[in-house]
Amino acid sequence: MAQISNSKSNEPRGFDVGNFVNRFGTVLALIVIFVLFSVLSSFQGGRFLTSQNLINILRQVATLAIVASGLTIAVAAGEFDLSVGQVASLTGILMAGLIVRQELPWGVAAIGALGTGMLAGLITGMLVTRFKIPSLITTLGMGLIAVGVNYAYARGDSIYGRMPEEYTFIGTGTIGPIPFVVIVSAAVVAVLYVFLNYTRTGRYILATGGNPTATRLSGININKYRLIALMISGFCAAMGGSILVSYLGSAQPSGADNYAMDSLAAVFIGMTTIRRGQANILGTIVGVLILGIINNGLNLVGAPFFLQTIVKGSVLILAVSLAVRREEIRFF
Amino acid sequence: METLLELQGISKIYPGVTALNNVDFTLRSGEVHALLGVNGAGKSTLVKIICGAQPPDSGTIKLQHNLLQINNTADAMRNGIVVVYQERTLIPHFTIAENIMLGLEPGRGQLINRRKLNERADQLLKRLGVELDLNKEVIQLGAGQQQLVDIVRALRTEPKVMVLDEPTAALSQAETKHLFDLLRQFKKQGIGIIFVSHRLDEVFEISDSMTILRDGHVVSSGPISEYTPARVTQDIVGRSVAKLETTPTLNIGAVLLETQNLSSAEFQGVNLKINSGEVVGLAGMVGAGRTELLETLVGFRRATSGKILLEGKPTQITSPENAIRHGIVLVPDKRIEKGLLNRMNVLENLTVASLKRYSGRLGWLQQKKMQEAATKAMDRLRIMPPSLNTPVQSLSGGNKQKVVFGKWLASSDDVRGLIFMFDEPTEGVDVGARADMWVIIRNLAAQGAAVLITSSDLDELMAISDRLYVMRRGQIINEGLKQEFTHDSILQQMMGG
Repeated sequence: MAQISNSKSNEPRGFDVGNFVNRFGTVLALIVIFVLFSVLSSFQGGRFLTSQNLINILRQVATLAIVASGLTIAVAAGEFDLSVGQVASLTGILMAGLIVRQELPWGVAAIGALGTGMLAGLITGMLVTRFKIPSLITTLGMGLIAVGVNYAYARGDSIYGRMPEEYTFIGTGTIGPIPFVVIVSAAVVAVLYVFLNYTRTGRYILATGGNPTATRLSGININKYRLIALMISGFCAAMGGSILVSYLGSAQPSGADNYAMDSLAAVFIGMTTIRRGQANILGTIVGVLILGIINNGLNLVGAPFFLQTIVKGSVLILAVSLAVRREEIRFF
Repeated sequence: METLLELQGISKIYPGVTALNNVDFTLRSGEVHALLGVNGAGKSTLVKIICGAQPPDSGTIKLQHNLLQINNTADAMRNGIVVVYQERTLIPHFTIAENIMLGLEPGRGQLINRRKLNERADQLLKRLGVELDLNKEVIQLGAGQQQLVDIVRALRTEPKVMVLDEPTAALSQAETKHLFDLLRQFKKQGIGIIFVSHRLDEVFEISDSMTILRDGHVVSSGPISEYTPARVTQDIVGRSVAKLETTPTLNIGAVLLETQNLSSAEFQGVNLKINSGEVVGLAGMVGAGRTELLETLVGFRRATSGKILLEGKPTQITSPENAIRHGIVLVPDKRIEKGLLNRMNVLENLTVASLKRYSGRLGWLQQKKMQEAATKAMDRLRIMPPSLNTPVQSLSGGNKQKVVFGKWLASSDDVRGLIFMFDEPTEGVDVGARADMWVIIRNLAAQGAAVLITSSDLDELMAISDRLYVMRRGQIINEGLKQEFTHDSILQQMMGG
């Protein structure tokens, strides 16, 4: 579990260059990566730095941003959720199946899919708080259970067929030049940001993750907030899975599995910036953008596909190891 | 001054131990009342009962002459009794204001009114006469300021009684002075303060009265004017017990280990000399820096300045591995977490530090050699039951500690010139095993090793050492042959009376 070093008592006064670089180092890295690809691709026709491509990048990261923001809430409460990828895959399959196979209205299907995600979070939360099983392990198991349910329902097949236009609009529609999914994603991220930082529940989630003992001694029911955080994580995973299906027009049985590792990477990268040492929504978005730009940029400059994952993994390790070195994040 | 809190006939029995026996305690409003006693005297049990963390088995608690029924800490808080624990209870990334108001944020429904939150925190600070930058995150604060935040938060409910558990343990002298200035203000506001401390000089500086506990009884209680440091020490310790003298070594040899001005965050300017053939004791209260000093000498921690000399040569000790290569070994305190492989058996534990000696080419382990060495160590230490296959988990405390010793004994047949350090070697060990260990330690010295030992048990240090250093707040304040000290004189120096 991530913990914060209390040992340092640095007291920055006025503008402090070192502190600024530390705090926004990851944001600077994002800008450097962006500039790097702009320059690299300019030798190959300059396809990276076009408004069309920048909009593309936003569309590509929109669903990941939702899942990663939900996961941020869980990590802020001091919990891990490794099941978000498999829960997203399951809910995507359910969404498509309920529309195509059961021929339910898409609104009802959405309630079913999102409800399933929240239920997964609820069960995880109960196991974590009642039976005191670490969430790292509980969600590992919950992910496997989601895979099982997924295969039991879809028999391992992809599901496609006609889907109502109102639903596919979420993933593929545009308002002016802006993809609708980007607007949805921005709205969800904004709501979660306000929730975590400005509401009572959000603050108590942060307090629980920051120091559970102190929070409990202040008369706050920490188990309630750990449960809520895990439910939000499950809900956002389901939302990511459902929107992905609306974009693709079909559901693959393990189509959203990558979200687990990508969103964990984004959250950890995010912990190195803005509010260092603490999971925070803006930091997570920086992480999501870094991952998205790396994916997109490497594609455009014609790098082999396997380089993407190698670079992503390296960026994650580099960012976190710098933060650990500066004693902002401490594990174990 | 009116009586604020009154405990009568409080008893508390844990399985096997009477923690408190018919204790009376009275706190008046506007006084600082020190609570003193050695570890295990019953101080913490009494504090737990006052703040509702433990119910008493018998006795009554009255607050302003009303009988109180306290079942949990929330009850105590509601009645105006709060505790500031030794450990900080803050949320690192929250601001000071957010920490102070945690759980009582003003606002409507889900929305927190930050302006009001800061206002209320500010009002509280003004009322208490504390100056803090409300918008700073507590992770940026030093230990003293963090503690202030904790104290302010405890006072937000306008309590009548405040318990401070070792409040100055982590504070610098300037911070301590500031804290005391504040306590004097709180007194004027009529708050009754229970001050738990090991530091006699501070107790005499700030307290109005004191109560001394020993073995669960109140030894004495009264206004500070009735006490002298000497009397306090005597009351805390009682007449000293068990004498188990060991024979001192006659052949003290060359200096094996010397430190010059060794300093770190936990200790400053330490000058030590340890000769081969002698057992040197290091006395000090918990938190004086003893453990940190030993851990620095074996490279587990780093010194910030100063030198370590081995046989006269300046040496950098960079890691425990490196220390072992230089012949320095630490048998740590808290043996279960630091010294044992709990899930492995006696053989595996005894040989783990010296596997190199039993491995042939390609690192293949020679079982027979291992068994021979382990058996020898087991016999020398009289580990019971004498079986190499016993999982160490199932051994008694004393035998566990012997295994931790044995790990180092098995690693060398000739201990001449080696430096052995022991941190609380007989903590939680029965009397028989304790005597065994004293003999083992003396034998090491007799065979030409140098031994540095630290223990909270002064009787043990007096019994086993040839020479003693006394440490207080990270500094060596006295050194001398055992004969130059008495139990009471050491204790007085340790506590700074």
